[in-house]
Amino acid sequence: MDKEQAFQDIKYIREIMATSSRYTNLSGIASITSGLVALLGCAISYWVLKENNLSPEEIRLFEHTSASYPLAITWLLVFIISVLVNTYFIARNAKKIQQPAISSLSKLILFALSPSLIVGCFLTFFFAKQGKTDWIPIVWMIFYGLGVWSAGMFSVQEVRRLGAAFIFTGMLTLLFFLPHVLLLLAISFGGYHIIYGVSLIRRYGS
Amino acid sequence: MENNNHLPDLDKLVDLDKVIHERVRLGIMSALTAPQELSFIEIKGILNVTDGNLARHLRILEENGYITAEKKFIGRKPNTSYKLTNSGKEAFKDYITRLEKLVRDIQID
Repeated sequence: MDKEQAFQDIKYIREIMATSSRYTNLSGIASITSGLVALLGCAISYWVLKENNLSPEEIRLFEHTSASYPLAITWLLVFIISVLVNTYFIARNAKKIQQPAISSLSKLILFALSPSLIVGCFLTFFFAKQGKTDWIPIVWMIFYGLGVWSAGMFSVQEVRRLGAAFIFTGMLTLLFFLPHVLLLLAISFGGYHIIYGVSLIRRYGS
Repeated sequence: MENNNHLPDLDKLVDLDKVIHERVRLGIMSALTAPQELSFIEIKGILNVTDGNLARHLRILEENGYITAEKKFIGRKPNTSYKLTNSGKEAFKDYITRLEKLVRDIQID
């Protein structure tokens, strides 16, 4: 009886600690929107490459500016729109459940994300300058995957799965699918986000 | 077990901190241990308690110097945030240690 009581007490502490350190304000709609925006980005990229008669590995950032600048602007916009859409839906959900949009936990998550994002940006610029443009989508897949995986440590299983999917897809693309890198970019940033968004809505209803 | 909402009378068996040994207050201390700080609304969501009940127990912990409160606002709504003080952390650690010891002793018996 005494033993049972002490265990009950410990179990309660553990449950509360787990709940208070898990981030659950996720938005499936925001993720699906980001996925669609990424697909649009891939379509524009495909068209830009075709117009300039270039394949991804031929582009040098400061040499083939008729292709590199539109591509850079397209993906910068994809990034900005995705961040804005996610911020909007997260803030809206937070308001609905009367939670602060920037909680201590979300600060911790941003902190966990930041090294992957910073290194990802650095390598993107480095490879663009070096003319390893076909490696850039792989940098995005792997470093975004690493960031999402780290952030997933403070959230639900689906987030970690998304991160792992990106990391593996990035590595497999580098090994086997480098000539089809744009297609893999569409499958991962477009397809995975849509699948992830749908699974969030089906599981948690938002 | 008569009532699920009350903590077992462990404090009679072993010298457990009376300030912490109460279901809501133990919940608050546990919740504040993981992240750096939590708002009133966040704690309320985690523990599933009423405003009045939570406010009462937060005040007891604050009066005992285990937590500090800081007034903040979401838009125009006030939302106080709370975090553990150093003595609160020590007290919680001590509480857990005693609890652990209790479980160990029982297992040896």
